[in-house]
Amino acid sequence: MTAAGLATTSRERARLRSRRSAFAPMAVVAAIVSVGAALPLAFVVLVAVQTGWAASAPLVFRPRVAELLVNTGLLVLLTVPICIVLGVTLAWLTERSDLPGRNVWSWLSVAPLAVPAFVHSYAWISAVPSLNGLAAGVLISVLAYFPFMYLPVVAAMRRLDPALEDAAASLGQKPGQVFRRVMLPQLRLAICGGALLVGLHLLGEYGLFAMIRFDTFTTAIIDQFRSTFNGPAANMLAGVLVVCCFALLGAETWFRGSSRYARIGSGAARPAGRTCLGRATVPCLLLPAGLAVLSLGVPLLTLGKWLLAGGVAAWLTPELGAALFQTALWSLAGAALTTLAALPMAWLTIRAPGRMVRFFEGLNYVVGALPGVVIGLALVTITVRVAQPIYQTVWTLLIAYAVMFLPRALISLRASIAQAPAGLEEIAQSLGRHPIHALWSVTLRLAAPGAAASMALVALGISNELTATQMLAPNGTETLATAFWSLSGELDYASAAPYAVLMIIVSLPLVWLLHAQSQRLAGR
Amino acid sequence: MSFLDISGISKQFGAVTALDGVDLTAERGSRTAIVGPSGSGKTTLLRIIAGFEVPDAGRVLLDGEMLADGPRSLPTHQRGIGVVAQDGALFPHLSVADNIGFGLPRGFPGRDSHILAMLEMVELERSMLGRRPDELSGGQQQRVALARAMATRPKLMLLDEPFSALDTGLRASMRKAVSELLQAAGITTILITHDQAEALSFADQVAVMRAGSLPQVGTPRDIYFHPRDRMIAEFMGDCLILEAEMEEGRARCGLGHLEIDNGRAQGTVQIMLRPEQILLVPMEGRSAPPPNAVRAARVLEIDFAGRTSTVRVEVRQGDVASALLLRGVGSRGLEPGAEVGISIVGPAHLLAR
Repeated sequence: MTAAGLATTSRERARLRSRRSAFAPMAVVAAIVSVGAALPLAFVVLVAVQTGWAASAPLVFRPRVAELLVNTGLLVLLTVPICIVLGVTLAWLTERSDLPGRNVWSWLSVAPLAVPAFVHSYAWISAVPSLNGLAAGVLISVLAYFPFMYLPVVAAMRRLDPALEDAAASLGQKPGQVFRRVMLPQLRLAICGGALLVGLHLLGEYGLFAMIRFDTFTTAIIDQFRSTFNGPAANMLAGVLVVCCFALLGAETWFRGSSRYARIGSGAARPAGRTCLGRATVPCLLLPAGLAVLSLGVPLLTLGKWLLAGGVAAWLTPELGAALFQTALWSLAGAALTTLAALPMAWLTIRAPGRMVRFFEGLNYVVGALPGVVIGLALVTITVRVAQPIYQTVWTLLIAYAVMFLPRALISLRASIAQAPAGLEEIAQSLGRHPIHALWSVTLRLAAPGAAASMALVALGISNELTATQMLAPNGTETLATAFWSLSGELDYASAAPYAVLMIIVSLPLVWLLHAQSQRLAGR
Repeated sequence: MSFLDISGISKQFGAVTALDGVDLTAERGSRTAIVGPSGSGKTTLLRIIAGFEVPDAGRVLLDGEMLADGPRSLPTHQRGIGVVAQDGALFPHLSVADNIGFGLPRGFPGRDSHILAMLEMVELERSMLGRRPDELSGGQQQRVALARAMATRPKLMLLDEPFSALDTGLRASMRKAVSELLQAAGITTILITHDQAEALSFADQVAVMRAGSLPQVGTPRDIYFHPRDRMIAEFMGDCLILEAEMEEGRARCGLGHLEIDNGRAQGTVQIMLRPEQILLVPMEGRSAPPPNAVRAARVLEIDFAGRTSTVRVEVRQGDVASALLLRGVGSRGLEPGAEVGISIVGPAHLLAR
């Protein structure tokens, strides 16, 4: 080679880049989003540090906090085990027995999710006004949240290889022993996941418990927030609540253990046989039927009663239309923002997995597990102190939605980006597309179904979010949830009913989506 | 200066050295095959040429233009290099026509007729244009991938084991068709493969890759008959390798005194014979081997595999009998126990130690 051949002109040199260009901008955006999402966590820590031990200790160690801790602890300790028993039993009945009408029962076991938790509560309190305290809290929580346990367990049960149960039976194990020694251990991950979901909802729920006057940390924080707005007392309670969430996350990790229950062996598993219930059929039918009556029948009957009482007039108020429009607008805007914010992180976890990316991703999940009340409190404080112009604007609210629902968006996006091989992006570049353009026209195009699912899940979540919306929504604006809440707070149950009906109708696609998801997992 | 000029390319992945100072040149319009076992670094080299990876050191020049100079690298989309991947990598969300037209700039004049011309060039029917990639067979997918890569008239075409997913019969015909197509279009081509027969039949220059470097580059015949060392000899096909002593310009070994291609060698050497140089001639009742045979031998075992077989023979040299395993030789008319004469065609090749 000649020296002239080696010499490159300065123009040529300028075209040579030192790194591939798609990673850097994506990493920067992902880092910004993660840091933004971690603000609520930073806020809790900062407030604790700022307040100092001397000032915060009396706020944390007092009888009121102990009382809340006992209430919240008992609620979790009673509700979660009941949900586990109900979820596993229902899953077994609909998946592994010859129960008549299995498909219908399976739908009805997911359907209570369409009814927002505080609407469950409204239905019960208006039907039985004397309901209150721990027992009522446990009852309504179980009815509102047991589908969160049913869904993962039924999906896991579908994927179990019946050959293992056959092997256990051939080794002389009775059916009950097979269930306990072979099936249950394989369901452990699903049960842990479901229990975590139920537990986090119990910690974060406001409306359900406020309606029946049962005090948990979340209701107490809102009460404090209402009375002192931005006082250290509310912030300290939020700190304790965050510690409770971490305790729950830790407990789940510990129970889950590190064992893997992957199927060993090749080929597709044969579908499982069904246990013949025989004479036990009728008593077995009582469980799903009873649950359906309590979790769907009671809300629908009560709503029906109030709809009749309110008549057509309840539907004809301008406020209803305004609230519906507001809800739709914010749901869609929030869903779009959340999905967009999750995109760089989802792409990085697939294309450039590394310790740094895993850390930021984990951070997003942890913050997503925080109750809406903590995120709301954090954003109120932060905007008041450092971002006054966006305080009490829709922007703060949209940011809160994005922080709360980022994990939902990440999960759907990640799964669909993983299905678009990196090779396709490279080939698009070799055909002359700029890396960002290649990402857009190939990977994102292929991930579109996942992005749509992510937007749907987030939008549905936002459409009946109450706690953070209440704290952050601009003055004078109402969503379906907040309007329903203020009307039922004034005991105007008849006027509130149309709002509840609209929320249920809006949530129906969620039921369909989740049910379809649990079925599709089985197909793999 | 060569059309493609690669010099001193090195690449590390963590503690693993994938490429260690690779030099390679290719002339305009030529076909080069890079062949080596899996994990030898050939795919990394291809990815560096394509711009998917950035080298730690070394230069890549194409037609006088600097593509990579150490870690400074021209982005893939500005290179004009076509790539056909192992599985075709068709975009699943686009029809065949849109796949082929993917790289054409917006408002490309005569876009549809160009796409059709590309489709016909790879001998696919017009009715395929509206199909989705999942409706095509493996061979058809590869043809579409080739049409897509050729549609933008690349300066260089990189083929990354494009035939390995096809079944045996289709593989040979696809290889021939692709080779002729690229030659007719005058596109310089680099083929990556682990299949030596594919490399030898496809290319006019073969580069053997081993542990991140290219120990030998040459014509297919050169690489096959004159491999530099034992590893390359064995990798490029069946062979018989013998220890020998040099005596008066000939190699003395278990098969007698053989002519070798380098008569100036001295001392103890290693020589190689390809199976087609070894003929086993039945004695047919004669007591002495035929006049052109170098040795008499007895067939011990035949592992019959059709056109070629593996034959184990016992060669007698005076009172000493030694067994030899001959891979890939013809075994027509032979039975275990038969007496044969061994003839050698052409000189044996001297291997470097």
